[in-house]
Amino acid sequence: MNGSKTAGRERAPKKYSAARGQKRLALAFMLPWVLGFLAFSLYPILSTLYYSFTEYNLFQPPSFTGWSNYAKIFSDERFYKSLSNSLYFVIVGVPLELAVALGTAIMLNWKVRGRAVFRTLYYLPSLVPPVAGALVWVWLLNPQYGLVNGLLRMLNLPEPLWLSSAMWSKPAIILIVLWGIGSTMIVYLAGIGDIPPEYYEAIAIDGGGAWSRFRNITWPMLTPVTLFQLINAVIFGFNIFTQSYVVMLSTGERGNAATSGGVQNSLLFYAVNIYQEGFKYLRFGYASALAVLMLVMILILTAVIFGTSKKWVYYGGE
Amino acid sequence: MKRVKQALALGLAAALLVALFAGCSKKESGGSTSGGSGENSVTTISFWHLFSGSEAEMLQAVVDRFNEENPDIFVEVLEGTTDEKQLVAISGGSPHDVGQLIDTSFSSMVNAGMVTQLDGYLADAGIDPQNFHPAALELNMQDGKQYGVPFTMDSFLLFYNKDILEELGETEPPRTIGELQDLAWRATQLDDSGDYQRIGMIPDWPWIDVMNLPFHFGGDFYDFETGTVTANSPENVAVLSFKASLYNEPYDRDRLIKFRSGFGQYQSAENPFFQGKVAFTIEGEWYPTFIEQFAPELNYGVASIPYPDGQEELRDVCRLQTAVLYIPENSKNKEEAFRFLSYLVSDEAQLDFNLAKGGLPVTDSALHSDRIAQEAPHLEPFVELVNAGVVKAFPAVPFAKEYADTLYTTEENIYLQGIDPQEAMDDVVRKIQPLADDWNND
Repeated sequence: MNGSKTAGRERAPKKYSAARGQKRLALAFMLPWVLGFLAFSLYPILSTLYYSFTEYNLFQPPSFTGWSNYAKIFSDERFYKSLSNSLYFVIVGVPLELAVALGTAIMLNWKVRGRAVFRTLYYLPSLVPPVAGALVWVWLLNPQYGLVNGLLRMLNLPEPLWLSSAMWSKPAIILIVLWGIGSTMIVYLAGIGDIPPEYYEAIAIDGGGAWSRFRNITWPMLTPVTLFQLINAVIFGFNIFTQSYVVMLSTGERGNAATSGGVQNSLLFYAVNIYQEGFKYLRFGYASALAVLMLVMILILTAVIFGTSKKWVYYGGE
Repeated sequence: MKRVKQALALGLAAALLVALFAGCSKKESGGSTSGGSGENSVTTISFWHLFSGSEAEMLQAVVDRFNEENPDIFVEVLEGTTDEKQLVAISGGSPHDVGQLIDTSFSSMVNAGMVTQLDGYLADAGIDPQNFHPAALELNMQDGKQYGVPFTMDSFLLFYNKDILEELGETEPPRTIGELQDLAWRATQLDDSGDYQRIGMIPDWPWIDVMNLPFHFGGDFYDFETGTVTANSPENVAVLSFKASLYNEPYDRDRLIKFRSGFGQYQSAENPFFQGKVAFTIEGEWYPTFIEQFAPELNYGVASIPYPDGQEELRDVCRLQTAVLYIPENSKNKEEAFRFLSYLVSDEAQLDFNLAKGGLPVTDSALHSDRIAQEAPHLEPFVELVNAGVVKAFPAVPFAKEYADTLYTTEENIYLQGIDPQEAMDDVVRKIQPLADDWNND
């Protein structure tokens, strides 16, 4: 772009207008996306920011209240509870997700008979809609009749109460999420496919074993992919909502005061809390403030991850 | 050539845009008149309710009759909605025309201005508010104004398994809380591995009902005169101590949770009370209909909810809960909506629906109808209770939902973490009193 500007000035006006035409064309192609972004992303974000400074019940016009919503956040027990639940999910769940996806991808890259079938099988769960998947898992994890505990019973292992216990409900949700790891796995699989086979040949000549192949070639070559997946998983982790909501719907009944936070609010994740503040308690101003805070936290976390990436991400050839 | 390509590209982009926005264009909801020819145009209105399954079918039958009798209105029903769904529809600007909710979720909507005031409509239609059950009507009022009308009401009694009682050598159901505690423990059975096979009573099944006992202990939730949240009154604390006793020694909490988690669906033949796995439960007037449907062989009885030992005067306390009908403030067909709403509270519709589903009609005239004894005699003890008992209900305050939710989590913590009930309830007051103060200062 820089070059074409000066070039255009020196050359004939006709060429200049052609370049402008190209630009216009490019803009025209971008327009649908730009409009979509403005209408469905930027506008909601900005209005969330605005509403976060108001008291707003979604029906009557909002009234401006300054920073009071933000001030309230820090003395709100539910905020701390939901933040710690989400942090638990991110800190425990995300590394597990990446490790399991990477491990599976490596195994699915082994040259065994029926590899395509295995790849399909492992990818399949990620195509199941999250709501349907969660509903099935609610039954699989049923402490009395569920298949999971049935298996544990056969092996004489302890049988957790899963979704019925505050201690096990988050691990249960992580398990459900791990089951649908397919898309993360596919990206890793593609990443592995991109590693030049010469590297492995070289290490084979040097006499390196499986661990050394992973440690010195596969992992460093996959770090850029891992960075991308890590950031994605952290953002997804903070947004986790569906599984917790489905668990609530399958346990609450008859318009009763069933709380959507799971046993002892152990599944009251940050996004669930935002939803409840807004749609249940009609405090949209406060819910917006929570959402803005989440945005800020995710931005900071992403920046931190990017900051550390220089130390561990290896871009081949640089 | 380039020009042509450019023009083509622009055209395509424009077409894409048009397609995009056509996809998002707001659908005309409700308010649409079809028929067109003018003389026989039909207004379609929408009715969103919470019922599902067989109850929804029974309600549909009542709606169908309205549609037959009123050729100028067509009521479209959406069953199995939630209060959140109704809320979003109203605030999103494409509301339904008539909605039905449980009273505890209603007052916050009224407070937010989402609901049409009905006094004028009621007066114009000549509907006498006095004919409604007074306590039920009051639950749908705010500041002396009527925002909704009750649609069905619930009152509650103790259901017990007669066979189990007989097995224990008893002929009478428990009258006091002490007796209930004793019988519940004696009815409990373990299998060889120490897992529960049968339990006397389980306090958080089928769900944690934070309202089912406090009134029967002489407690209350809110003092309207002083604006005080009274969750931590000695009566309310006593309720929780009793409920917690059904989870604590000699019971094994973890095994109880495991046992409970294997219970089948409430509205099915797998309901553990229907299967004789639970001996006592507090339920509403709909329960006999379920039993008839799913466990016709069950040998059960119905009795007053036990009162704290030595306080017999509390025997006839009646806890009331209502389902409310309302018209969203931004409904475009209020006249038609009200015509349908007033049909739903007519004696005929009230009796048809409630006697079929096993519910309590809300009008005085329907409550005293002979049809109850003839068609649904199992409703009689419940009708008697609302007619003659000391009627109590969870306060219709704008923070009712949050209050109930807080009580729910608190009760859960008491069972599962063994937190001291007094401390836990003091904590509830600390959380909810500020909301009450906000409301009172408005």
